[in-house]
Amino acid sequence: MPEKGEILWSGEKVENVTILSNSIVYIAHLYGLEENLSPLENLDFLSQISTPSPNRSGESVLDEFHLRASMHIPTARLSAGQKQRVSLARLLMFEAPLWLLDEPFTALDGGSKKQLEDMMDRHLDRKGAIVLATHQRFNCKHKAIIHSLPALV
Amino acid sequence: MMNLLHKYASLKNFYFLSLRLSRWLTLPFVVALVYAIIGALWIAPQDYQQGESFRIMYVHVPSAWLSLFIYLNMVGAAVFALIWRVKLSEIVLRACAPLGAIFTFLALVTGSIWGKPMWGTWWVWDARLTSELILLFIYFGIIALFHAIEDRRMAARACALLTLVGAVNIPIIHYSVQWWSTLHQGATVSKMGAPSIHIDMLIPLIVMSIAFTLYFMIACLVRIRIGIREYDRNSNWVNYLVKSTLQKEHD
Amino acid sequence: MNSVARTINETTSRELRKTFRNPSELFYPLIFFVLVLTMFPFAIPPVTGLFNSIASGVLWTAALLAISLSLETLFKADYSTGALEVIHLSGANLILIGIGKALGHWVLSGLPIALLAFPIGWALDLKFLTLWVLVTSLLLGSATMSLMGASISALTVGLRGGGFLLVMLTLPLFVPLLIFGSSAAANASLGIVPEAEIYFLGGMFVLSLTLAPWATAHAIRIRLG
Repeated sequence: MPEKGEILWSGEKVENVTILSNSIVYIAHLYGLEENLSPLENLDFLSQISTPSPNRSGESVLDEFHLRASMHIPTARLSAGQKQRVSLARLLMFEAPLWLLDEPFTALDGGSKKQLEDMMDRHLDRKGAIVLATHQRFNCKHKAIIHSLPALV
Repeated sequence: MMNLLHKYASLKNFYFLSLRLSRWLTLPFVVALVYAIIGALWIAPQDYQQGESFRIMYVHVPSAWLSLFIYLNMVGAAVFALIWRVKLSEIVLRACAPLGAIFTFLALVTGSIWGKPMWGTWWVWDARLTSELILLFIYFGIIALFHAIEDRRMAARACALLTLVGAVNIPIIHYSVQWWSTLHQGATVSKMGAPSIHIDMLIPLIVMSIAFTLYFMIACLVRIRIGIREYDRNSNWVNYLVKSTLQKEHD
Repeated sequence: MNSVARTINETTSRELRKTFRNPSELFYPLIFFVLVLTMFPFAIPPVTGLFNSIASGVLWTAALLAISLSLETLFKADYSTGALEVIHLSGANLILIGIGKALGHWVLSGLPIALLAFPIGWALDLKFLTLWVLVTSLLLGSATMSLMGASISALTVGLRGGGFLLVMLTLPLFVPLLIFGSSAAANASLGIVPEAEIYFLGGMFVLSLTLAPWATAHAIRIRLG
């Protein structure tokens, strides 16, 4: 919860953020993956325990991120870019109106970066919302409200 | 009634209330302490079996009682801190823990001293002493957890949960240790709590317990005020308070 | 399978699969158990039969220490990789996660230790009834330790002072288990059937099964801020 100010959701004040967890997908700085398990095992675990259940299977989502070849390999052996893509796969697995993205373009190559930008555009087309924190330039069809944070000395 | 509670749950209001409380509690504390000391050392007659050495009971029993009473206070604060996230309860929890540990330690040391003339050794694995020892470890654990977490509020909530976990376990531990000691002690009867106690011995004991409790309240309020100043350190009233105190010292 | 069973099953399988991929980790609790056990003959006076007479108590203590230490890794990896946060935000029922984690931990530490106590106790000349009671008390006691320990492990995950802090907090809580567990075995060696002790251990197990997962869920929520 914030130190100051308040959170409004659909115009109503929110006291306890956890009730919104169904409506948010949060991609953080850490990948959130168990290193000894494969990407498919990680995503299958999440789909089994999450409420509500996801709309797409882990396999189809990993396919869309071009990770079919490394689907069954323990996550520890993947490159940083591949791990980031597995982490981002959650955005497609769960249909949530709000995406919170913390440096999502980290370690992504040109092709993957374009893929993420397209995903973001499609999400915004469907009237979704994105809160994004990044230091990288990116392309976006829709208008964005930009807050430039001053550098901390 | 709820309005009164709400008013004093505000840190600033409680701060000034506690200053008044501390003042009111000081005289009763001194009176109770003086009376209890005179009663314990002079008025209470010599014990039939133990002679003069039983008088350590006047420190041991109030300490032991207080070590449990303080834990109960902490349980109350823990409930409010965990469920309703009341800041004052978080501060009370943090304030009580070291005091609880001190009184538990005091109970252990005085219990050990009391035991020496009776049992001949400084330590016996007696049910009550062993239970107090485990309680001391539980207090240490809570204090350690407070220091291990950097965020003050998260630390308070974690310790609140730990206090409640301890609360469920302490009766279990107490009865387990008691059961265990009956296996090991056999026929030894420890005469720490005499069933029929002379009235001249009993009254100073009660008054001493009251004095100890008043001391705990006064000391706890000091710690609570420190906690309030820390929690609200960015607010105007605390800054003003600090500045005016420094000003007074400067003059 | 309904969703309650599914969540617990998935969580437990994940714990087991995770550890089997790193097979050497499987043996740490067992090796530590035997190591602690081995310290005692070195430490106590070399009176014949002295060690064997305190064997069941020593076995229980060694098991207690091995299990307490192995609790540290229960939530550590998930916390440091951010997986715990993802699990929490996915809306999973944390109470069931707590049960699943405790079950996984028990299968990996308490269960093997209890089973290993059988041949070890046999080698130390314990009678059959005593061995039987010892293993039962260890199975029940270690299950309770996994449940209660999971909540403390979640509470202290990622903190400096880690392992020590965790053991410092759990050992006082485990004292009743140690008292009744080793007393059960001791009484069995005297030929007395330890009904009271086993009932107590069973009671503590049921109590912790009811309350501990709730505490684990809360601990996770508190530590994730």
